Parts: sequence; C-alpha cells; structure tokens
Amino acid sequence: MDLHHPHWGRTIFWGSCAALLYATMFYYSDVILHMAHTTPAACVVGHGAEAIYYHKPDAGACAALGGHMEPGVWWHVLIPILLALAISFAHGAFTGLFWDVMGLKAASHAEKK
Amino acid sequence: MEVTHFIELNAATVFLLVLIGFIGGMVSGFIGSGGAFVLTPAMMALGAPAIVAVASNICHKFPKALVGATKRHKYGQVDIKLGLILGFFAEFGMLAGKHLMVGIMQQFGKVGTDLYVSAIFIAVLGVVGTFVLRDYRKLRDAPQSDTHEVPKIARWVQSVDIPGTMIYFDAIKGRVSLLFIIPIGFATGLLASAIAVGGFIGVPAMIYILGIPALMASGTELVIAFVMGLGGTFLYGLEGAVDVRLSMLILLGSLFGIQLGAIGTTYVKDYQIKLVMAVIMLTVLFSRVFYVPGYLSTLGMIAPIEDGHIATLKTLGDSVLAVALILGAITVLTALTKGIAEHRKADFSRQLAEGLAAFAPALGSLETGVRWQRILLATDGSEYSEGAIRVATSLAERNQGKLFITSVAVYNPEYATTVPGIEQLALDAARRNVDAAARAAAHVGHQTVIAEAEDPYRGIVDAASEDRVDIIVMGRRGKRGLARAMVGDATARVIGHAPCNVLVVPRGANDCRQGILVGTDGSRQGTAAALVAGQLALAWHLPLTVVSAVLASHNEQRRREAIAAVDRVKAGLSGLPVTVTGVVAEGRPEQVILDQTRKAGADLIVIGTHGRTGLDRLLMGSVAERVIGFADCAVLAVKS
Repeated sequence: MDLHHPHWGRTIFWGSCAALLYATMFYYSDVILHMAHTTPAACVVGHGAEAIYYHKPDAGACAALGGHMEPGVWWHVLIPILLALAISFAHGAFTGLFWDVMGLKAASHAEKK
Repeated sequence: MEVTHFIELNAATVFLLVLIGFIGGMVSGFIGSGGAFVLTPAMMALGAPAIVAVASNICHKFPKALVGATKRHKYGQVDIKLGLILGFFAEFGMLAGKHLMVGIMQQFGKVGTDLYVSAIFIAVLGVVGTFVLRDYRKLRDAPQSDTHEVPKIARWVQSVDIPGTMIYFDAIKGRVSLLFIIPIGFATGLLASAIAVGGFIGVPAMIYILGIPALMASGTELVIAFVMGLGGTFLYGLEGAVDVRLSMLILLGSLFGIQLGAIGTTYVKDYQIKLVMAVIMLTVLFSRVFYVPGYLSTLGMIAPIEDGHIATLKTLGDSVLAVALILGAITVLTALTKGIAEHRKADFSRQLAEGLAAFAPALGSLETGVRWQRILLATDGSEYSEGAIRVATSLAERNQGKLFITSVAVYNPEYATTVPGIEQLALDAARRNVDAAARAAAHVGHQTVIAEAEDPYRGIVDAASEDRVDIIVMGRRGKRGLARAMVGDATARVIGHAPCNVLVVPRGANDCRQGILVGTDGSRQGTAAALVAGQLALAWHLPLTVVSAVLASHNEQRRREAIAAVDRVKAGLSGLPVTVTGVVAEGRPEQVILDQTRKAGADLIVIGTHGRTGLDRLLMGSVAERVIGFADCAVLAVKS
C-alpha cells in the first residue's frame, strides 16, 4: 500500500460511494425484495422479511392461505437495473484503482509473454 | 400459484456469495469471459432456484459488460454495429429461451428447470471444454501460430452475396449477409437465457463463421452481453426472478476478482490460460453430472432413488464444484505470484541486457567480462592522483586494455595574451604529469594526451570523447572534515559531463580485489548501478553486497520498497555464479553504504548518478557525492 499513491483520493471516494450504495441497498432490502416480487402480480402471505410471495396467483387460493393479492407493477423492474448500473459503476471504479494502489499492476504489453 | 423464493441471507451466505463472486470474477478475468458457468451453479448450490440464479447472474453481468465494452472500444476492439445487431437478435433468442424455461417450470416445476440448465451446462461445457483443450495443445506446441487467419467457412460466408441483406462491418472490413447474423444472435441469446453465458456460442461463431479476429470477437461479445443482459434482466425482472441482493453481492467480490484475474493474464502465456479454462470447465461439468440422477428421479424419468442417495450425490456435486472453484483460484493466484516473480527477474535481465547495450562502450558481455579496453587516466601530478594511477594501470593490465594518460594544461586565452609564456608553462606542467604517470604504467600499453582547456574538467571530458574511452579513472582531492562532503569541483563536473562511467580513486586506495558493494534505492540510477555492479562481480568473480538504506522517518511502504529493490537485484542474479548478499539498513544512505562497505570488506563501491551538474547536482546527487567524498576505496559512478 502506497500512502503517497496519486490515486488514493479517488480510490477512497469511489470506495465510499460503493459502500454507501451497498448500505442503502441492504437497509432497504425488504422494500427492494417486495418490489421485485410484486413486479408481476403476486399473492403476498405474511409481512416484511417473513412474507411469502406466490406468483401466477389465484384469488381463491390466496385468500385460503390468508394472503392478499397485489397487482404487478412493471416499472419495479427498473429498480434492480438502475441499482446494478450505479453499483457497478462506483464499485468498478473503486476496484480498478484498488489493486493499483495496493501496488499490483499488469505487466506492460511490450513485456507480455 | 407458485413460489419464487429468494435465498435467506445470513453472514455465512453473504460471505460465501462474495467469495464465490471473487473467485468467479477472478476466473472470468483470467480466461476472458464465462465466470458465469461457475457463478450460476454456485448460486444454485447455495439454494437459489435455477431461474433466480440465472436471472441474478444476468443482472450482475450486464453493467460489467457495459464497463468492459466501453474500455475495449477505446482500444478499437469492439465493432459496435455488429454487437448491437447480434444483441438485437440475441434478445429474440433470450425471449425464446425464457419461454422455454418458464414452460419447463410450469410443466415440471423447479426441478425441471434445474435439469434443463444442468443438461445444457453439461453439453456446452463438454463441447467447449474439449475445443479449448485442443486449442491449448495447439498453442502450447506452436505458440507463434496466433496470427489471425480467416477460417475456410468464414471465407465462404464472406463471399456469399444475397442482395438486400448485405451489411458492412468494420470488424471484417467487408459485407456479410444478415441471414448469417440472425441465427448466431438467436443461438447466443438462447444459450444465455439458460446458463447466462452466451459468449460460448457468440465468440466462436464470430471467429469461425464470420471470420472476425479473436480479440475483436471477444470485445464485440461484451456489447452483445450488455444488450442481452439488460433485456434479460428486464424480462426475468418482470417474472419477479431477479434477486438484486444476490447479484450485487456476487458483483462485490466479482469486480475485485475480475481485475486481479485480468492482471494475472498479463503474466502468463496464452496456452496456460486455455488450460485453466478447459480444466475449470470440465470440472464444473463433472460436478453437474452428480445432480442429474436426482433430478431425473424426482421427475419420475428413471426409477426412484432414495433421498439419502440423492443428498449424497448432491453433496458430491457441491464438493466437486467447490474443488473447481478452489482449483481455479489457486491456479490464477499461483500464475499471478509466479508470473510476477518471473517477470521481475526477466525485467531485471532485460534491464541488464539493455544496460549492456547502453553501457556497451564501458562493459563487455557476461562471457568476455567487463571490457574496459580504453581507459583514460586523468592525473594532476599531485599525490592525490597516486591511487588513480595505480588502479588505472592495474585495470589496463587486467583487461589487456589501452591506457590513455592525460593531464590538462589549464590556461585562459585572456591571460595568454597578457602574460606571455603562461600557456607554455601550463603545457610543460601537464607534460611532466603525464610523463610521471607513464613511467608508473610503463608495463602496459599506453598513450599520453595533453589536453588544453580553460577548465580541468573540460579537458578531461573532451579527451574522453575524442579517444572514445570506456571509463575515466581519476583521483579525489583529500579534503578534511566537512569539506570532504564536496568532492571537489573537477571530479564532480567530470562525472556530470563525462560520456562514460567514472571511477574515483582516493589516494590510498588499491585495485578492486576483495568485493563489490552497490547502493540501490530501486530508482533508474540505482538499477543502472546494480547491473554494472552485477557485471563486474561476475567478470571478476567477486562477492557482491547490495545495500539499500531507509530513514527512521520512512513509512512501511518505503521500507518495503527498499527491501524490494535489494530483492530485485538478488533475483536478477540468482542462478549466476556470483555470491550476492542483500542488506537493508537504517541510516543516512551515504553512512549506510560506507558502514556496509567496511563490514563487507568491499574495496569497490558502485553508485548510480544522474550525472547532472550545477544546482541539480546539489539537490539530487548528494548521496553519490558524499559517498565519493568520504569513501576510502574506489567508487564507480555509474551514469544512467
């Protein structure tokens, strides 16, 4: 680890961004999972993390299980896509710099093989 | 109604997912693409239903593909148009594949999709793994044959002209019918929907059917992967099958791994990468085989198997998978560490070779020893030149070289006009100096040179250039106390301006017969000095001490660098018939070098110098200057 490495600042910045995004995702994981499960119509039995989601729901069967029906919301599908893009961008920038700061570099092309 | 359950996350599963992601990423970065064939089964082994494993895998992959494609595009390794067209048709393949998967799920339940995914895995990995293994053999036996040749089928495909369907592609600098593109895209998508790795069809198809160079094909595949991944995530997301937590945990480890794997590839040969790829593919394939009887039994397609046996088989399969992962990780890490070590060694050897070329006038090859064939002895006739005369004569004798003896007649043209005869006085003095030295060197071939200059250093440097000498040997004014720190203007300036290395010999010093010490800090100058020292030690069969100094105020990193600098020199000389001792000691560099010289009993110090003069010299050359000023033995100032 080179404390004088010119990329230290950027590494810490992107590392913090990635950590923040991960923390947010896990903090709201119940909400995110709920949204994922209710992208298509679902029968939800139970609450929060304990909830069980039945897809291709049948109103009668759902009522028998003591659950309630939720209509599908198609745009919930954008949540994982946007999250994946944001995390990939921040974490990708961080890991790219990380090994460099740790002193691990690729052999230059001319010296390869 | 059906349950799509996402796996329970606890500390252990989170750790495992990140670890699997890391290893999968490392393998992926190392063998190009296809870490997914490790990730999908691994997620399934952790309990995720096949559809969730595939969906989450696709979701973690597409942003990575975007980042990768953008990077590779900068290097001209991506045909965006081809990628987008293939990606477009791959979407249809994915749709078809997804419908197939959902259909199977509805018909046979989760176990049906598990069987479907496993069967495709086994088929694809079997075929591709065998191909890769064949490629490995070919590459290993003929490593030079990696030039791009358009395969026979591709030549035919490129020659077919179906009006109205032809599209121009930069990647092949020609036109290809869309009718060939559509099935490739479709098949890529179909495969990706099942095992999240479409590249297994896309890349070989682009190479062998369309005739695109391998590098371009793998770069373009990233565009397809992005388009497909985005579409796939959308489609699977609509089914509620994307577990973004799973995707992001895999991604967390994967991005660390992928960078490490990619760095690893730069240290190994192509065929080694292929071998790792083949071994991992076939091991993963082998692991899937254990699950199949269980699936078949559950589906009632074969005679029922006891649950206990199914569980045992599953454990066996999981173990084989774990072995594949660990094997992959160990292989990549071994390749990386071994590669880096060899690279450092090769790097040093290369520097040694380059150094040899650069110092060709000053140094001979390993076989012929150090070829100081033309040696310039600069004398001022004082007692301070005695050591230099002794050592220069001895060097000429040892190398059977020619000695050029010079002394500078210093005069100023201004004085010459005002004080008649002053020029002659200077010339006479110089003549006396060289004659005295010539008498001492009577037994070796020599030539005397009277240099005329306004400044002693100028005369010496000019003589060195004119006679194309390999080394300058000169004395040092024996100052006392603090003044010793400054070498004396003439010597410092000669070092600064000389076209070759300079050997500074104190009055009482003798020829180098005991040992050599070199100071290095890992810088260019230090490395140049180290390679000259290594050459001398080899040629003269003398022990070499490599020294690096650290200050008490230095942090851990600087200390590691000092150790690394010494280790590099040692590694570079390992295997050669020379005794090398490495020392990293705390203290001011010049003090450490002088102390260690005494301790090692060395009688030659080799030190690098940037060879600047003036203000720069004070700022940067102080260590070399102090060592030269205080040393009791000869100091070779190596110019880089």
